[in-house]
Amino acid sequence: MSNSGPLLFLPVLTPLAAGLLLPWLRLTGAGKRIYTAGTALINAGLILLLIWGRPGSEGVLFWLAEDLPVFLRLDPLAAIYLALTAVFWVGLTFFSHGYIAADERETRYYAFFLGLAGVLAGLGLAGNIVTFYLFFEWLTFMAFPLICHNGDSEAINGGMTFLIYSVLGAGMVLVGLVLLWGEGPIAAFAPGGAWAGQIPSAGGGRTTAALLLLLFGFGCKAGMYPLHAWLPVAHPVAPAPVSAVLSALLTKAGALGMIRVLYYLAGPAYWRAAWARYLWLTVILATIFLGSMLAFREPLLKKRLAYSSVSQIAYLLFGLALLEPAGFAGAILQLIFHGLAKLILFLCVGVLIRQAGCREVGELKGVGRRMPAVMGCFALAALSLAGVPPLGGFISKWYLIKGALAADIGIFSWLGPVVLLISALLTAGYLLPPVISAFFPGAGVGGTRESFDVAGVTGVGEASGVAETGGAGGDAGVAGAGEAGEGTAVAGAGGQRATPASDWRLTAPLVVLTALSLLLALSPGWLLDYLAALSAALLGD
Amino acid sequence: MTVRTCAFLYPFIPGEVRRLKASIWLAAPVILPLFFGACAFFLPFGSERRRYIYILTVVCLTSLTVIGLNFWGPGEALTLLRFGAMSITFRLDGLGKVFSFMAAGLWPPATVYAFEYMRRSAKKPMFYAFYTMTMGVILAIAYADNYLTMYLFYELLTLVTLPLVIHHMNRPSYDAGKKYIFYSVGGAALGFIGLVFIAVYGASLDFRLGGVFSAAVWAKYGGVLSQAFVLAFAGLGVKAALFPAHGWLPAATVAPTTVTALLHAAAVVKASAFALMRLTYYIFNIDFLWGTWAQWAAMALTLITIFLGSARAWYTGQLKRRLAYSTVGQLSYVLFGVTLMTPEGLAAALLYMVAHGLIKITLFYGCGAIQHMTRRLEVSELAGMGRQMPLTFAAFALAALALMGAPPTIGFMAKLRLLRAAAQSGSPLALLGVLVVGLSILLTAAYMLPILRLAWFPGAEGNVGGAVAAGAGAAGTGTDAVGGGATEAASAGAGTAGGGTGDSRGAGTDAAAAPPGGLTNIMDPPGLMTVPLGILAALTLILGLCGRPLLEWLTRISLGLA
Repeated sequence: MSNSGPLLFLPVLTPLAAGLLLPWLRLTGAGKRIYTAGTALINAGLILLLIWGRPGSEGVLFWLAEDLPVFLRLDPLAAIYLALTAVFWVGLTFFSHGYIAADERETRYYAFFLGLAGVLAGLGLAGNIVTFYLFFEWLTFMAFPLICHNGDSEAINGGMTFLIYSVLGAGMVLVGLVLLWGEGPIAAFAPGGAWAGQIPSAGGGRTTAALLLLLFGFGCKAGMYPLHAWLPVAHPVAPAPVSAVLSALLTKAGALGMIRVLYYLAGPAYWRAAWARYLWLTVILATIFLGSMLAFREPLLKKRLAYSSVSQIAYLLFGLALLEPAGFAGAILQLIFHGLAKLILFLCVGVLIRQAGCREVGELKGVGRRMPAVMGCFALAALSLAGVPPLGGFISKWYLIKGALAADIGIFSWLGPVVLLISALLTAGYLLPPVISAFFPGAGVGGTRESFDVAGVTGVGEASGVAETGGAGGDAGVAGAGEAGEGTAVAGAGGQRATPASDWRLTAPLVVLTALSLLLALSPGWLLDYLAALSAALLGD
Repeated sequence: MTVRTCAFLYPFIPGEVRRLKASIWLAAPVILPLFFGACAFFLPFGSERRRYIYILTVVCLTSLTVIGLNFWGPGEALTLLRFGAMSITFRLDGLGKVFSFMAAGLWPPATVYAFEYMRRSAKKPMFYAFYTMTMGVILAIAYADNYLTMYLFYELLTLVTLPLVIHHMNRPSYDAGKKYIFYSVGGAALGFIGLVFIAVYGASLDFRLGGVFSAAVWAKYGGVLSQAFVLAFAGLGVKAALFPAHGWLPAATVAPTTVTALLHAAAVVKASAFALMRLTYYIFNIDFLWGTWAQWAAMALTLITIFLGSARAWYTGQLKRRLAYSTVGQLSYVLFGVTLMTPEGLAAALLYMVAHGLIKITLFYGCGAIQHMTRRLEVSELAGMGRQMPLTFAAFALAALALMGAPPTIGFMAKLRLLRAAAQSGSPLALLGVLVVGLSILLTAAYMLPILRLAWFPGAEGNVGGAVAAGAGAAGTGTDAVGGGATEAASAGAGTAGGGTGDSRGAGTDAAAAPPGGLTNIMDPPGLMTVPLGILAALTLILGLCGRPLLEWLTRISLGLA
């Protein structure tokens, strides 16, 4: 194994080292911001330069055993995931600066936040399944403190739920891997399947069982039914940037694992012949429908978005399960555009919670008039998720349906598009009414400042005990928020914050990210070419 | 290091001994701690400091000799006694090297740790004497060249460790000691039955890869020998807490934590695993045993133990007992590797033996540090202590993750090797074993992760605003957060909580042990404890990152090449 690119270690090691170092530096508030922003920017620059200048480079980090290297490789799939991480991370870092309260937990937050960036980069770059497993495990341990950031029992409950599901998933992955190794060597990922000729293609029970274990193990992270339950618990309790990471990147890590196993290890040919393929497709379609349905019924904004993620990531999995070039391209497009849309939506909700105290859909009435930029971004992202042309979500769904119709999967090739369409309607049904009521509150509410404040205060009172509301911005609702906190620490946190976070620090990253996603959606030609080449390499036609 | 360097001594050495040549060095690591350890009991040291220096010198010298022997050790055997066809013989081979290396590596840090942990003990002379002598017995087991020698020192191991188990000399200790000796002697008796059969049907008692039974003998007496194997396996497995004889290990946690750590996580129980490796691979032939009911029976026992130990650990509330039950489960991972009866299985078992020894001793030392500084033992009392004892809990967390098998620690490598060996062994029960081990990994996460969660995220109501100093009480006293001026109330609450543990000794000494200011300013123990703890924790990571030579060595040993 050639060691052609030690530079490749930097996207992994830089943020990890920066995160490890942060607690020892004893930086001031501004110092921490410069430090994290600098790391994120340098790292993003580095990643983009590497993708541009050194595609295909690889390097061994260390050897676990004589036949077990932990090594990184910058293949096209890694490049996509890495680029997403890099861009998202810059936005998220700047958003965090405005969002995370400057108390003693801030250092811990940034340390793990930086570490998570390194782990995500490692996950994208992983060159074999052991390396992938290594970063997959650490993803859990890095994300857990971030989810528990608020430290109240609700947050810890959410974190523990995440932890249990993640450990369960990792355990299933490990057992699946080991069962597969009983039949083949530990090979590096190769397009089209490293074991393509080695594992019996007749669909041996053990191999299929191992692959199912792997798919469901990764499915734990990707929110695949019936292992999706952690998403609606963990998303609402985490700080907004962390919820955004969970939906936009962390759940995608599970999907990435599935791509690596199906397309780079076992090979599509094997899975095409396996009966379990239809079991998996059924589960995926159930997840799509279930997620949309649950989201439709859910009044709490963040929870609604979490259920929406369950459904939307299952779209991605559907594309993978098709084993068709168009379906695969659709899956990757969904990875990108759902990531962008969900990132924007969660950050919007973060701003709404922080500055307007809105947690539930019903409280959004008239918010659009006061926060046009935020709700504008929200609206665009919602439209994209619902699949309205010419936005990103439309492109990915178009490819998914195209792939489904072309695929040789019997009843599923029309059942899939039907479920997708129903789900698209549901998506519009659960995301657009909040937008409409935000901009057009209707008679009786009027969207005046006074009535808005009343709504804000009620919302905070109901959601007592959640610390982030304590830091609510400079609106009139803040005083009420503090009092409504019912003796929990909200009052303390609110009191500490003498100067409210200025608005632009939250909205600016949001607007930039939305602009980026629009730009990408409106000029997708080069991306489609890139994906066509990738799916041709993987599927061989 | 050969005997040639000491040539000037030749005239003074009697001819009989001189003929032994280089192999005489094999006796040194056994005699040194046994003799000087026993002396430590009688010598008038005057000051504690001198005792520490003496003990540490003996232990370190022994360790150095072991390490030297591992590199330049003699190939030939050293026979101390001979009667008829049997003999008491030492010889150094690959398997013995691994085990002796492990003991030599763990004993010095363990001794340093004991200095601080046993500082308040009144029975130091006895403690250090037996603590040191145990090392000699362990090394003798590592160097034993035949079943008889191993059996002899295996019995002796029970005797030298008994005083350590009953160290506190109170009712619970005596009960635990009785249980320990009853189980151990009973197990050894079964091992003795094995000895008789091996002596009658085997070509010799010597440990050689491939066994002592010829194919003709096995064809004729395979049935009875299989029975002897299962009996001996269950018997020698008693010290490794093999179901159904696992009960003594959790009971023995009444011993001081430093004893529990070294003996019941690393040395004594691993001696049992080591003995089973010798029995399975070096007395019996794995090709004869593979696929027979004897393999299935032995493997089934280990799988039951794996599940049982992990599950019991899950719902055990006292930290030390939880770790003990965890040991029960984890030891059977090693034994599961042994019963795979493939070279990969042996290599995996060896790796797991080393990995678990390192990890569990770190965990017990973390537990000991907490106990030493706070007298707290219940898991629920650890709320919020991660911030107060950062070094201890960092080491504990690293070891806990390693125990769960998180990469890139040595624990991950060991689990991976073991599972892979099981999947490749071709035995259907081994495939079931993969699932059982997978389940056990989940249980391990379920009993270790909540400890870490509690230490850093106590989750108390109202700990959000200011400095967190939470102390959840055993009796549900609640959690106290120091927000503004509530410090006194908080420390008072925590103080009562600390006294209310199930540890009867702890309650009495609590006031003296706790630093002034109540339990609100709990901190890391002194360097004598944290340094060994840190070194061991770092080793779990370092061996995981650069464990390649170790793995290659173990593979060669399992193939009989080293």
